[in-house]
Amino acid sequence: MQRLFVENICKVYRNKKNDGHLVLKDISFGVKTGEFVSLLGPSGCGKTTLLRLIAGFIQPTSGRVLVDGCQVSKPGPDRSFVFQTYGLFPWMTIKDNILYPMRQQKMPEVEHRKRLQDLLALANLEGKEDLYPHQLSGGMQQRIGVIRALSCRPKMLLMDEPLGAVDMQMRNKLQREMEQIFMNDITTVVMVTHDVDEAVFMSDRVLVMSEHAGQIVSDIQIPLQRPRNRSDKTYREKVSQLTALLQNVYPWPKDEFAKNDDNLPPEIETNNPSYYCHSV
Amino acid sequence: MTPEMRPVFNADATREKIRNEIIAENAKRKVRFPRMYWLVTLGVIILIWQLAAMRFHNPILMPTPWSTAVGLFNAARNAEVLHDLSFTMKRIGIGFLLSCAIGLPLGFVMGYSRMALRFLDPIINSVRLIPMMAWVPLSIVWFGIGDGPSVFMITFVGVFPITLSTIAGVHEISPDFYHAARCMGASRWSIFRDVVVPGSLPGIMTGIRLALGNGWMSVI
Repeated sequence: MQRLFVENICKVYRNKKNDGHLVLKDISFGVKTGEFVSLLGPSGCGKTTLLRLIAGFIQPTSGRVLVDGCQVSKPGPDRSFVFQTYGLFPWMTIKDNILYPMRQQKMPEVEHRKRLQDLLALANLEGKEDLYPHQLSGGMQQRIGVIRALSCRPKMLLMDEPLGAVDMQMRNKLQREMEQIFMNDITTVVMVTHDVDEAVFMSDRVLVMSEHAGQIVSDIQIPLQRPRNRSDKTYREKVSQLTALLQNVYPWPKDEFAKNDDNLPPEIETNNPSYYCHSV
Repeated sequence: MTPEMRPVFNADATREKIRNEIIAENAKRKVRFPRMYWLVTLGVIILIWQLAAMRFHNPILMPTPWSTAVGLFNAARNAEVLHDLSFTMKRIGIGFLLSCAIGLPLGFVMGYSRMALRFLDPIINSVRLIPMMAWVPLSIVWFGIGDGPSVFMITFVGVFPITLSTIAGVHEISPDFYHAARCMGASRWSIFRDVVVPGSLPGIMTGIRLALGNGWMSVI
């Protein structure tokens, strides 16, 4: 069953000084109910613009976005959004942040408590509900961002580089946790990312976008069981396939990352006392 | 060098030594009298004052700090002065409340709606720049003698900082917060109450401080 349908979307940014910068050119794709789709592409390919169009924050120049057959004209509670910068209200406690969408959507008061506890358990953050967002780490804040978006069981979840601001170890940990969250609470998701590994790890389907005049250049299925295993053969094949595709749409100098063994630091003398002193 | 001749390296002792150094360093940095700097400033000012008073040697041109202190002490016990002071406080209080009552709604409307900003900004900016002194005769004609002109002045000088900083406060709210609220099905009223007001509060507080300061300066 088709949940989201993006139909011939074009987006042109115009101002007085230019005569139109084409960001998205005639994009069409569908997303099935319960499917996790990633939009993968180099920076500036218009993937975030596309996600914001689906959310209804901005309007397309032509074409339309349909959710369950209804045209999107403004942001609504059926399409939750997870922001790269978390988007949590800094003046509310974690509890109030999570309860906010439930209160706005008139969820019965009796359900609040249970849903709050379920969500906190889902994100592994029990006991943190009375803290303020700035008292939590970036990774914790993003988990709150995700469960807040899920709190009213939206039709679909839109995530804009949700793990863009955390380091690699935290990224891998959060990817596991988000995988758990989506395995327990199946939701239709569209995620924007520029990270090939993240796209393969999280999604059922990856749409690769090209850098210029944003177009979808390939549509790759990831037919892997969850939880996913990074050392799996098919997994690694998908990663190299997508990396190659990205290199074609965004050709960078091939030898830039070539290793130069002469530049490695000299070996550290471990019996030198000053070495210990600095490491205390 | 034989193994016995090597300097013995004791990791525990080194750690201990470094810990003691850190403690000593912290102790040095610790400010024992947090008010000391403030007192030093006050002392220097009083000293310069005293020197100046000794130079002029005339209690009318430049009274000494001591005689000023005595004067303040006497004034604080004088019922008439206290009565006058309560009047001044009342004027400032009323003026300040009025400037909040006018400035905050104006600021929210102008910050929220681009149209309102376009319409009202020229008016605000032209009225704001009329010198204070030009209002004095007019306000006496309008409000008579008594609290009226004074309250008018205090309100007048308070409205603009509050309005302008509220506009700035509303503009500083990240668009993501509006998007997030609308994504969660928030009503217009809720966006105002839960996003616009708390989000612009830091800006509003700046305006309130400026307004109070201006108010004190324009008490006649």
